[in-house]
Amino acid sequence: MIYQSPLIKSTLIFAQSAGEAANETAEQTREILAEVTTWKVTQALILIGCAYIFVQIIDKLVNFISEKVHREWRLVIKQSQPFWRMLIVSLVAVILMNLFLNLSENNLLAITGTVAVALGFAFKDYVSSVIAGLIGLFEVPYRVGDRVTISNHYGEIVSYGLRAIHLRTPDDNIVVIPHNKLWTEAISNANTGELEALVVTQFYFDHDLDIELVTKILYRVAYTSKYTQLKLPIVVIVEEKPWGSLLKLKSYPMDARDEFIYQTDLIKRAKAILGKYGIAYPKFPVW
Amino acid sequence: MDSETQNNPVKALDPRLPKLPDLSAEEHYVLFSVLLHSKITLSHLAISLGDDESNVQHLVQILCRADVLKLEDNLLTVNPLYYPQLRDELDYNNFLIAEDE
Repeated sequence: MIYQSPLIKSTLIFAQSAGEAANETAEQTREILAEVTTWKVTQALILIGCAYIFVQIIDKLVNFISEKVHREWRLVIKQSQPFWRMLIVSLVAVILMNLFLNLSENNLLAITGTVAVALGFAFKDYVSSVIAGLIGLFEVPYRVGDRVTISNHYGEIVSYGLRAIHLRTPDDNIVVIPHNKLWTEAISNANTGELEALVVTQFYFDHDLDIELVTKILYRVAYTSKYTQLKLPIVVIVEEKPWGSLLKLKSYPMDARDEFIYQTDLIKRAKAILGKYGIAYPKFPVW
Repeated sequence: MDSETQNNPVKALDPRLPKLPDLSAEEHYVLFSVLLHSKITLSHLAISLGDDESNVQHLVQILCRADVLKLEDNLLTVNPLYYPQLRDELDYNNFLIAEDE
């Protein structure tokens, strides 16, 4: 009889149980994975290709239609873009899972756990952005067509993707910002789904200005601009500074897209009238 | 019934207003301004829009060719045939339009 020390015995038992566990895992994996054939891989590739083409078509179609319809429908149509994208991506994901995995109840639980761990390590930031994008669909901190400031970038949201938004700046640059900024950054939204966005135009004057006259001129300039939305209030705010008086004209253009051309129109016409009255600007340079 | 009537039976007519042509945002502003003033000269229209007269003239010419604007005795007016459609068009595009009583 061969003598085995308790240490060797326990090592053998451990090795045996480890081997059994490995076999069990392999068996479970075989159960979860369906048979992979060339036809299935081809189907999957065709499906992914079709989904990509569909997403591109929908993006183009939504943009085309939204620019053709009346202003009041523009944002509504643009805002449907993330929903259509998400619908296509979800459908493709479900079909692919059905193709390659045997989705029983137990298998689904096992897959969910495994995928969660794998994604948690490998694509932490990507998944964080995708989850933030999904939450963003319900919380709606921004929508397509909104004018937002995120991480010092200001512009109109032109696309709401699975991972990121595309922002068009006033200089016509496209900035890609991942949704996970939602967790950490403050998001300033100028119009929150509305067509109008407040425009603040600043005017600088000397302390000796006739405040009544200048306020009257600024109100008149705003009320007579072709871009002004007359349904919304127009306000002039006065602030005193060491170098002079700062007047802020707060008003709304009918379309937030016109904000810079609107501001130019206000300044141009205000300066023409202020010049006629000889109203003085600050004597000292503004630092 | 005589043979002439049988050959040319009376047809019911369904009169329709002409369709408003597609208008750009700049053309909306011009038409809104003309409507506000009822009748206006080109130079006054330019002042009202706060634009250069040559720019406004270019838009006015396009609208006159499309028969949306009419120029009579140097005064611009909107073709009344387009009133109902223009009213809706401007309303849909966020212009301030009076509500119906």
